[in-house]
Amino acid sequence: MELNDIDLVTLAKAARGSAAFETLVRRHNPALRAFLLRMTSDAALADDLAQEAFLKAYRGIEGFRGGSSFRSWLFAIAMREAQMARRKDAARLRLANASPGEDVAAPAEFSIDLQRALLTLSDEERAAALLCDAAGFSHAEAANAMAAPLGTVKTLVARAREKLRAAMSVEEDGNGAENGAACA
Amino acid sequence: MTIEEMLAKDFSALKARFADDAFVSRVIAKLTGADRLRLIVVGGAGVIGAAIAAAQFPALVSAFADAAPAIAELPLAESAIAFDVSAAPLLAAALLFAFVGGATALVLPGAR
Repeated sequence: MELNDIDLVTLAKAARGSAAFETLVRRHNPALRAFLLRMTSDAALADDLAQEAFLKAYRGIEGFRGGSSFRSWLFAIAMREAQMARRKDAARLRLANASPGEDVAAPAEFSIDLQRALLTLSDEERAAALLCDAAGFSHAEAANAMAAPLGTVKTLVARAREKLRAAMSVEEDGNGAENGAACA
Repeated sequence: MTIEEMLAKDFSALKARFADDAFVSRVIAKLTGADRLRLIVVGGAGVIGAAIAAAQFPALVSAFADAAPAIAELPLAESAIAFDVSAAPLLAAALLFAFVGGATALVLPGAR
């Protein structure tokens, strides 16, 4: 039987160094790294931030009281780390935000367009859209992770969807025009 | 395909890519390394504390012996004055208590 996150946290609190926290890392690292990669557009930075988030979660696991889901608590730590990294390295991130880097994963054919569209959003809009529409967080979980009021998160998600729709339709129109020109 | 579906599909593909790589073992190695270091620091402090306590023990027993010469007649006190550590049950007990105290500190909530 697979233990849920709360059980694993309880076990990790009771016996440090047990396999419980490793199971939590194994369970949540793909989503956390995917989220951070889409937030930062930098695979190496995303992995560093994810690692730091897990280390901080491990050290501070006694502070997790179960008022929210473990993953929203973990993502909140990761978002704080990302904010700190952004402040420390604003110039480098501005460069990364200017265009998707080479190490930005593009697993599907629409991914580059989607990545460009995501970069048109503010950090808060991007985080809200990624958490709710990509990572499958509920609005309440996203609000916990973003330390923002529920209503704000709902507004951010709606605004992000609108902007993404607009950006993607512009991309499609642009591609269509380019294709048309090439054909002509 | 809607924006939400595109985001979800992109995210799933990324998750699949990250599912089986060396990231987990790297993080776990960092965690255990930090734990080991903490254990060494706490253990080292415990050993130093016990050594300091042990160094004071013969002087303490000597002081008692000076105050009451009959105590020096006891086999325990004689061995302590000679600093025969292995033969001093009180010192062994003190070390055991130090170890128990250290181990308790390690598992106390919020200790790490």
